[in-house]
Amino acid sequence: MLNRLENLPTHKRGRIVKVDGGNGALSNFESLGLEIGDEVEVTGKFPHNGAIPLRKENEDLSIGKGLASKIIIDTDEEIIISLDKAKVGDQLKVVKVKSDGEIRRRLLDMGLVKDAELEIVRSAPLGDPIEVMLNGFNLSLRLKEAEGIFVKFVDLNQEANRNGWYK
Amino acid sequence: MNTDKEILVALAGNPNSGKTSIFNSLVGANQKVGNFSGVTVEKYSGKKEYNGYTITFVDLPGTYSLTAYSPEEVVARNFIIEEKPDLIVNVVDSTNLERNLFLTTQLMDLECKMIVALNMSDEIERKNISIDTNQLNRLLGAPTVQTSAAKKTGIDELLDKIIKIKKGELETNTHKLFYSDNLEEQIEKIKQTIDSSKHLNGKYNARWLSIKLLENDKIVYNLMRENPVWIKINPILSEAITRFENKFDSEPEMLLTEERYSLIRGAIKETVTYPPKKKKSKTEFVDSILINRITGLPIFLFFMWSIFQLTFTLGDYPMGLIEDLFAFLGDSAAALISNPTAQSIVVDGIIAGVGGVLVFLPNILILFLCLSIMEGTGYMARAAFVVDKIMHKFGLHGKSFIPMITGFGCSVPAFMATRTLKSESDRITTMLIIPFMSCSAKFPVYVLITGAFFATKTAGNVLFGIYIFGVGIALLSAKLFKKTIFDDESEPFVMELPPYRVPTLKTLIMQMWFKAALYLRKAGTIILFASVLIWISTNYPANEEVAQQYDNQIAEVQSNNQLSDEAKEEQIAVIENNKLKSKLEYSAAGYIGKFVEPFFAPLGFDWRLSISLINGFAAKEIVVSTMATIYALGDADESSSALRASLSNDPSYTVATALALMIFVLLYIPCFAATVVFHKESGKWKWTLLYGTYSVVIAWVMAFIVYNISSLFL
Ligand SMILES: Nc1nc2c(ncn2[C@@H]2O[C@H](COP(=O)(O)OP(=O)(O)OP(=O)(O)O)[C@@H](O)[C@H]2O)c(=O)[nH]1
Repeated sequence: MLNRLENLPTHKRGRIVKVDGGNGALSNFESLGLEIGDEVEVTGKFPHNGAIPLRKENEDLSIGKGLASKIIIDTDEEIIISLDKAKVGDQLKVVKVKSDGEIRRRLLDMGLVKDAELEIVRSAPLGDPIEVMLNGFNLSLRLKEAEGIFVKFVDLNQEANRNGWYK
Repeated sequence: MNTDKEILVALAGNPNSGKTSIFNSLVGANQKVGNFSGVTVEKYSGKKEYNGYTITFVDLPGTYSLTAYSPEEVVARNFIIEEKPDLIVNVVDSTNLERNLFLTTQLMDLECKMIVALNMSDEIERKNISIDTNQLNRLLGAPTVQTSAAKKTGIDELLDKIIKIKKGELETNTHKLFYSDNLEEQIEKIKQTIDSSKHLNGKYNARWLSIKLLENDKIVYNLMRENPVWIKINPILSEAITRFENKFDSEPEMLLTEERYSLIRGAIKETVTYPPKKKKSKTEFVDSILINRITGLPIFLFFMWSIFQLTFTLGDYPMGLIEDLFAFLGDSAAALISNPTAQSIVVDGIIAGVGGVLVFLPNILILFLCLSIMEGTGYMARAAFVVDKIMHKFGLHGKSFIPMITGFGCSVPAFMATRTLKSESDRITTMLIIPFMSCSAKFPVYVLITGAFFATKTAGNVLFGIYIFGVGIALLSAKLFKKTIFDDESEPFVMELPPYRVPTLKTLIMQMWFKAALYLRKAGTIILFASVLIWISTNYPANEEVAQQYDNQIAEVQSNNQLSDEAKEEQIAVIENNKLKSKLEYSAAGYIGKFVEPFFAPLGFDWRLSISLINGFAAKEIVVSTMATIYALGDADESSSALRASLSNDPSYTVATALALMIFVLLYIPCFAATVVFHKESGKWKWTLLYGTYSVVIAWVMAFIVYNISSLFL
């Protein structure tokens, strides 16, 4: 299944299928010595500077988070992410809600239960909160609330970084 | 009274399901608004005569669920449990059955008689969605009626079915909601234990209690903990919880919710047929303009600006009329009453006081109309969505923005506008900071002071600076309150963005009117009382001797033949003003002013400014008129050059005093009317005390800092 490189867990492998971005991203990508079709493995995580260490064949390299979110890979792994990491246009399915207390209750009441399908519609003008569509209605929630919702991909928006201004 | 002919019906449903519209179609104008006991949740109820029956409808607050987390949900379920209505009409938005039926499943757990009103049937038709109501009826075990509050269809059928159920001609509540065997086994175990206890018999439904215990509902928990049977229930409960943990890696609460949703999904699959999905709905299109990344914020700001303009510009015209009307009433009363004391108390006390309150009515009506339109169309939720990030930085909620903006006009409607905030901590915090949003009544004070102490060029900047200062203090205070008293708790932002709809005119007018009536009734009575009190304190105790001296002076001038009539009038006016000034000085208010002078001295204020500020508690405009009285200038207003001149020529006042005075006026406790409304809205003395003390303390501290720093530099 297709996914974004940034979502690939440590020690998992995927094959690069495309770069979802403009020329800048593309030249950045090429300058790292990467090519479409490359097999890569994530070797660790450096949360501080946000860079992701990668291994391509026997070569180690490190790639920025921004670029990693634009590289589309094909992988056999089942990838589960928290909802705040998904992008506009992604179609997802709820795996588990891990929040506590009132927030969890609110999420459950709104229908965010296991197997509920949803799509990210947009984020607010200032980036937070986000709007999702589920069960035929639109729900908005803060990224912080979205962190407790774990989802898997039903369909990845391969052009999430090219959405027009109107989103 | 024949109770066979009386039916109590509660309306329950999700927010935006059209519950209020259905309620209005059912009872029309024949309704009244009150509060549910003990909480500030509005309760609308109304009566309908139908086929010889008197049906009382109570509109329960719109909720998504019946948990113990929000006051609305607790109110709704307590009403059902304690008042035991004959019947519940569950209003459901049929365009969004999946989420709406979730509440239905919880109502089914309560095992009360129920009709499900499938509302918005006009939209269903337009969208070519068809619902097999007979089958849905069977699955829910309750009769269904398709209604449209917009097209007024299905209302009579709903009434007919209510009466049929009352007569026992129509079956309802034919079966319970059954969960999976694992859950049922535990529910049954707990239920049997509860049944064996005599203490709970009657009031509560044992099965419902069992389900709520498994759901970890804190109110039911506390209720059961006090009961002797708890000793037996507790081990069963903890065993059940560990069992689910081991078997499903999940809690009963989660499983119950999941099963409810899967039952709903099954029912929808069986009964609803959707046409193939259209490309883009109306709402999606409108949203792509109104809340997109680029235009979302500007459009939002434009709407806010428009509401503000409408409220305070359009509201000005009737405001002028009301002022004129009360001036006329005052004059007529003055002509009618000959006793000077009685005349003064009626004219300057009662009529002026009540007029001062009624004058806000146009603003309040317009503002509430605008808010109802925003709420009814569905834009309100979007507005919160757009600004939430900024507001959240200061610990507030997206919806806090609207009351804050309103505060620039008047704190009274602003306090009332906080009702759209659901969590108490968000609501109280917002209310506590509203006074720092400089209201329009403070404006004349700034104009007077800046006019007297600053060049025309800098006056505008100073004025702007004052406003910004207020906003800064408001936001920082919000952060402080959230960090200290409220422990950073905040309403989770999990909010529906409802489809855009055109609200019905009737609902808009009614909502506007009921809110205004609430303001009039609650604020009106107390303010009447206070006006009289303030009148007394500025007039009594009267020093007859001194008054007599002035009267003698007047008589002297009058009998002086060497003066022309004009000169006489002029001199008399001066003496009259001196009389007023000394009257104020010897009155209770004057003594208070002198008494508190030491408190104000570090800010550079003398007793005259102190009295003005104290009188300003009645209304901020009075600060100016009191100064005018003290400076013996009669009816001067903020643009009076004489008053400006006497202020700027007074050697004891400096630019530092001027700045400190404006800061103090900006921040200290708002007028009496606002304080009364604050108390009514917050509902607790501790908040009102905090509001009073905090604003005075912060005003004093800020004015002190500003006075001392600017004394150094200016
Ligand atoms: N098309 C259509 N619109 C409706 C119908 N019933 C209500 N509306 C509209 O739906 C919106 C919400 O209706 P309300 O009656 O305010 O909903 P409510 O459930 O009382 O909402 P809360 O006050 O938030 O609890 C309004 O704009 C109504 O005019 C209906 O049957 N058909």
